[in-house]
Amino acid sequence: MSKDPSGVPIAEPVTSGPGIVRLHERVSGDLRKNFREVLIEERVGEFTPDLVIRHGGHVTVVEVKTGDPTMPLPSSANVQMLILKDGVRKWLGEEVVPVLVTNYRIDEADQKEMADSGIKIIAIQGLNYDSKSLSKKVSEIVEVNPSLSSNSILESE
Amino acid sequence: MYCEITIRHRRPIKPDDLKSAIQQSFGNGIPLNQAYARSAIYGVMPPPASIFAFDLARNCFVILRKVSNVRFSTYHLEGTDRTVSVDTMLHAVQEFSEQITAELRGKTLGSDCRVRSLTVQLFEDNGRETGMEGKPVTLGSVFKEKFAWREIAPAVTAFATALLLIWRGLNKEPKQAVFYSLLIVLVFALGDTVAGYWWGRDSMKWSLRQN
Repeated sequence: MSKDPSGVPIAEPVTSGPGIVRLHERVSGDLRKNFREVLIEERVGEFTPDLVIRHGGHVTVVEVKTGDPTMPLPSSANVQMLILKDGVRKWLGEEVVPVLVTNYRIDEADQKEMADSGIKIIAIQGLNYDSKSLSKKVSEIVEVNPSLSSNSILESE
Repeated sequence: MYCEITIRHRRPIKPDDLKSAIQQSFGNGIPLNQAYARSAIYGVMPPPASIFAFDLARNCFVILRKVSNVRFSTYHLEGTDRTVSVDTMLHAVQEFSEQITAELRGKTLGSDCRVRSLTVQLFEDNGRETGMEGKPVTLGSVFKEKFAWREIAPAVTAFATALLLIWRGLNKEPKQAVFYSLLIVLVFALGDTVAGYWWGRDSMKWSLRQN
């Protein structure tokens, strides 16, 4: 960050991170394709998850959060997931399991916070992530939802 | 919209030490529940825990959200209401970043807590990344920018041309020298084209319409 010649501070460089949007769209696009038969496409409100999956009487919301993989998970991620969960629960009137798919760094505190809130985490690793493996992990959660109680991070690779 | 500022510290940092340093430096503390109520996202649902909140100039406020991975501290910065523009918020981010970097340089917490890197991410009110990211200008970042291929390519082309002409002994053969010069430029342009296509083939190039 710097100052312009008149001394007014200017926020620079504020740029779009290369690959950030593409990874998010690639992951959500792949999941959308693989779960197209069980997706709920309808959208309501400002807080809308990337995917809402209804299967076997269960509802799973999937949110993909991607960014710089050397950075910790954004501190608002937990609240965002809970808002998404609440919104879908009120909308569909069913119990909902939130799933976070992310390439951010996740420490033990994040894991505990997410597990305490009932949020499942699936870690992916960049542009070369394995789409089939990720879909398999999501399937496992969707199939056994809501009885899955593992608190550990599910690695997609 | 809101920003999250993530600081990577040089050494592990204790949340209490950081809190007391920030209290001394920034003052203007506000209750956490009051800060949550002002926030677009935390107003909907407050987070389970935060460390400290305080007011900033430009009608913005900061919540010290957490110290994670021991070396990272995360700050939520947002306007006190919707009338605060993104431009104003980014000015507040810059001022806050400069101030906290200076404070952590050693005045209060000692050199262990110095800032190794600082990253600002801009989020939508619903918690989604906008894809906008800011980092302070450093000697390293300027060096990287100035020594990028697009900056030094013309000089490298001229150097390669001169080297070839000297090597082939063509300084007295103007026709061949011109031919070789052109050849070098074409080879570089072709290489640049292939590389540009290879790296940019999955992306969209935006430009401003002229009419």
